Amino acid sequence: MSQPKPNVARKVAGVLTTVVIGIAFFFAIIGVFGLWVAIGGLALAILTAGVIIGRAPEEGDLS
Amino acid sequence: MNLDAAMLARVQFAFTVSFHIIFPTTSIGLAMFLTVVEGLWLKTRNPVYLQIYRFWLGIFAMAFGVGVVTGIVLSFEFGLGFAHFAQIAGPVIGPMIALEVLTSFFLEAGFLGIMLYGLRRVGPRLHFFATCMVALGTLLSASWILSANSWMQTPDGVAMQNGRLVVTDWLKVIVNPSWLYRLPHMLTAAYLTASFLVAGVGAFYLLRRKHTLFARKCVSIGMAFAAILIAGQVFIGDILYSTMLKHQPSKMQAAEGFWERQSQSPAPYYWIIVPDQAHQRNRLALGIPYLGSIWLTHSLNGRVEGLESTPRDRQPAMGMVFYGFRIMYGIAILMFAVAVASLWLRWHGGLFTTRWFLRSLVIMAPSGIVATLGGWYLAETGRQPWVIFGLLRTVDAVSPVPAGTLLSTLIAFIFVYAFFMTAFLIFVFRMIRRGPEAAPDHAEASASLKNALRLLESPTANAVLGR
Repeated sequence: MSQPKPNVARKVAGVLTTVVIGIAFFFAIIGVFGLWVAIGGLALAILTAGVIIGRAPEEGDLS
Repeated sequence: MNLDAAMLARVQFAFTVSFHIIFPTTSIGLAMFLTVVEGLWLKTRNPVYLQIYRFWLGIFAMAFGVGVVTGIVLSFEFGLGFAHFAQIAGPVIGPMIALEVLTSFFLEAGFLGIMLYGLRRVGPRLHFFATCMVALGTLLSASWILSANSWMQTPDGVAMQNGRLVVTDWLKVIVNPSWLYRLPHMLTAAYLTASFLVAGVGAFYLLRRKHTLFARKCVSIGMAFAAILIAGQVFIGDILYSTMLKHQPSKMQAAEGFWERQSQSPAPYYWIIVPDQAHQRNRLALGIPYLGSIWLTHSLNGRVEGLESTPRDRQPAMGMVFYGFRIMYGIAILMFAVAVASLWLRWHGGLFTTRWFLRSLVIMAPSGIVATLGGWYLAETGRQPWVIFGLLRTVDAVSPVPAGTLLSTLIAFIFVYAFFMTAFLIFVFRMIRRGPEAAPDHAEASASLKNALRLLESPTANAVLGR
């Protein structure tokens, strides 16, 4: 059986990590772990989104 | 289904209000989007923001117009189809509808003309102020309508005197137990609708390698808003769920698809059911094991209360409530997934170039509208058999109008609204096909539909296109 190329493996790992983080945030925000975890999860999700949006390359500019 | 007058009055109202809600949802969301975009333009003077504003202004104007016209119909239907409701609840609902007109409609009417036609006629700051006022007007409008509807869901601050409801505490009527949660839920739904619409159109252009600067900004702004809003929406939705479970347990029992007073343990989370209301059972039920206990009771083996806990004569029809909820919630999960993917792609620099993601954005463009419709079906069918929960049954609220009259007017509404929708979609798809470069400086008034359908030949469009 041939080994997957390293960049493919990295991509798969990245996708899986994103899926797990996304599911964890979703379960936290809908209150599965309690109200305070939900509030904390929401705050962290918004903060994370804000940081990523702020740090991403200037949107609209062609690279 | 027995097509008696009560059922036909309900079907007619359901049809007209379902059609109507598409347009205010779009215009509330787009008004806020336009405010943000014009604010960015004023701050940065980047012409792409102005181009985005001009493009979406036309679509906003059409959605706003159709929303106003179809909203007026609903006010008349209160009297025509539900006269007893108007008689009994008029002292409560009437002032709230009037206050909507006095606050939001007056505000919108005062500034809409400047917003639509004043881009080159007034200063940029005054124009921005007009856009803000129109956005505020749409927000106020939603507030009053949600207050009235939430009062019908969780009535408070009234007393029945001589067969009519009399207000004893206006504050309790307006700030009723569900309004504080339903209003942000609806506003966030509208802003999400606009976010996915804007991102979807941007993705469409990127896939076709057209209007790249415009398209990138649309995808970027749309998904930035969507990523933040969907997290908030899921949170608000869960809080609202708990509130409705307290005030309208029958609605949430129907929404989860369980019949038994206590479900099995652990409870699955059903996605497909074929309910048999007469025998109080499901003919078919497909779901994910354990997930019902985890999501609904926050434990691994909790039981969920079923619809048999509510007396039969107070039960809503499970099928409509269940699928309304599943459509809304299923789309919310998809939106959450797309938002997470957008953040991952943005971080890795692939937001504008990943084709599967751009295709998914195009497919998701109308998702906010479909989810909003699902949510309203959950809210309205879940309240049945009451029109004012616990106070007035729907069958007691209808007008003494012959079924034939209601059927003929329903057919007329279907034809007229089909014409509205066709015209709206033709215009929107034409504007998208023309692209942002052809968007005029301001909305163009037309004396006839024939002229309006020749939008492509307008002098402004020709000038911009160099024809």
